[in-house]
Amino acid sequence: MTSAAALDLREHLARRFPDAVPLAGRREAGLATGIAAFDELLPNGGLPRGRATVWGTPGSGATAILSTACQTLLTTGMRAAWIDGARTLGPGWRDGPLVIRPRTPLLGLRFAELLLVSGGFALVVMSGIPAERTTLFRLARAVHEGGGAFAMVADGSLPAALRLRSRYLPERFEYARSPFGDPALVRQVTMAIDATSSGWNATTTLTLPLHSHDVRSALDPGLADRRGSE
Amino acid sequence: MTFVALSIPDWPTGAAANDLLAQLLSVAPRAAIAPGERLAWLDARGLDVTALVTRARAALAEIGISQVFAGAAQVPCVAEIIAREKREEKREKRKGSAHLSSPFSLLSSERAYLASLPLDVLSPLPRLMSLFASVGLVHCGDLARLTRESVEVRFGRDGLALWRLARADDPRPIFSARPRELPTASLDWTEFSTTDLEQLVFVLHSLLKTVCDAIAVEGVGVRTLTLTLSLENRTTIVQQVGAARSTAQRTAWLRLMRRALERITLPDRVTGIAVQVDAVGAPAVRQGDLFDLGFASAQAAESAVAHVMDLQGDAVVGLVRSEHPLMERRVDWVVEENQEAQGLRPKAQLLRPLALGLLPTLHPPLLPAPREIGVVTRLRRGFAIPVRYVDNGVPWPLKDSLGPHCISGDRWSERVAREYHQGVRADGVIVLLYRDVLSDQWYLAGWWD
Repeated sequence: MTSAAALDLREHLARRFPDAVPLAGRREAGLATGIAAFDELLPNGGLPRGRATVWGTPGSGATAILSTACQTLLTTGMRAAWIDGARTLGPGWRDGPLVIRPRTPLLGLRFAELLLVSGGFALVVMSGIPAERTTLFRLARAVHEGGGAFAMVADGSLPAALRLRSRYLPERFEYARSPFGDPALVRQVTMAIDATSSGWNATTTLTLPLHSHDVRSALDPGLADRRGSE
Repeated sequence: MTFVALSIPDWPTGAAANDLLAQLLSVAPRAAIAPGERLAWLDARGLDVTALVTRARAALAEIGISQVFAGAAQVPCVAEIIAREKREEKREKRKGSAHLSSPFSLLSSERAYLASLPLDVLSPLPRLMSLFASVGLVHCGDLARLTRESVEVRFGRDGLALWRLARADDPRPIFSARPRELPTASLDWTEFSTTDLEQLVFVLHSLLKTVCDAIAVEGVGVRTLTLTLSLENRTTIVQQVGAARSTAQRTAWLRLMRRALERITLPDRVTGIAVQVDAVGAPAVRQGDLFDLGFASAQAAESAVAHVMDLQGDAVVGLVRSEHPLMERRVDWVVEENQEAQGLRPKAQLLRPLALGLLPTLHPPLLPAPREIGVVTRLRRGFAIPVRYVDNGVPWPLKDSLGPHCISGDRWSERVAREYHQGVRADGVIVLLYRDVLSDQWYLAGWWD
């Protein structure tokens, strides 16, 4: 087969089976997260619509980036939902997205399917719920039906249209020093994100500030902490 | 609308007066009577006026009313004038029974008809008649030709009302608005009674289907429903249930009804349930704006959330923060009822284009409860610094341990003393550990993500 014939065949297949076109070959814009470096990394400038994205390394910045994506969507009037299966969303959570805390993992999967099929949510994030391949296929079908974006933060290598993995780069951390010159707190971290899709991959690094935990001495919530601060 | 005015000189008294309206309603869909003016009104919209009057006359004859003078027009005052004119004609000419004047089909015809009539057909006040005469206004057309402002200035409010009638503009509501029949459904049983919530919900499910289907056909949503429970002790419990937005979705109403039922304390066993629609409204569709891309799918989103809440009532939660010194107690997730808080409607302050380009920040997600861990430590300036911890049997060496950040104090009988450490694992994950000084036990509070 000549290269021209192969191109023709590829175009014909793309027209006949548009859903089978790999993410990188698609033309429709992705769902922009509002984080410029991250959007540049993703194919078509954002999280893929109608497809599932799996963030395979929980605890490595996924919550920060996806919650920021939710906030960005809210600023444009779209809806976002977060299914917090592990119940680990903490005081750093910013109000806005719909937060759902299922009692059981099975309920969490059911909720995800309901929200995805409805098409009313531009982005649904599910974290802390272990999923099997068959479950993910079912959710992928739901997100395809609804047309929104779906991001799942789960350990392991699950099949998805877009797979993300991130890792911190401790050698590039920035510290706040104590009066003795010792590192006292991490002030800023740098993380590397790898994005993989069918026939395509890319890597980027992001530098994110770190919100330190606020320790207080006064046990009465109404009393001010009188130790003073920096 | 075509009004038919029936002038009845011999207005009936006694039993016939009571039957008059019933007789008229037997021939017309809507009827009204004005005994003081000896007038009866029929709504002839969409009907053959001549045939209607013939039937009305026959119906009135049955209760002994033989003299009926009819007038038909699109405006009540014109129909009334025609009917009265016919009566006067008969009185003067002593002819037989009066005939019906042809109904006017256009408002301009009615104005033209009125224009040639003297002003006294509109029954003005005597004071106004002398005023009209003093300025040379004799016919209705003379008055109708004047401007509204000039009439108001010269003749006041009463003159203005007459001016409107002279222009064939009669805003009187002749027929009262027909009350809308709202759906209702009920089920009573005689040989059975229950206090079981699930059984009541089961019955409600069926009743709500009837009501919601009937409402959905009309393309509107239910705003409030009244739930009536008939009890064995012959009393009833009436509870009105409202929705945040009009909806005809049975699942949403079932959820609201279930919640209402859960709050009711039943003094006796239930023998019947009734559901009645109190108020309906157009399905709430929010006005979209330039930055709102989600309003078109609001209904789908709300439906999905309603379904989620049907499966687990406390699934949708919102964060309530406090200043508690213990980090794990600073956050409390409470069930959200409000739609805006549920994220279904974007909050106004979030709809700002300037908010684009948000910078992600790493925050420490906290475990629901601090997890006990094993820790290997070394001493640094008198403090035990973790160099490795074991969580669920998995050892995690720490590249850096930052801290400690100490808190201590007591509140009533609660004493707290903790040393917090920020640990950087070899894989870069930053964890929050603390040593409970009172029990000398180490815990994992969470990690930055």
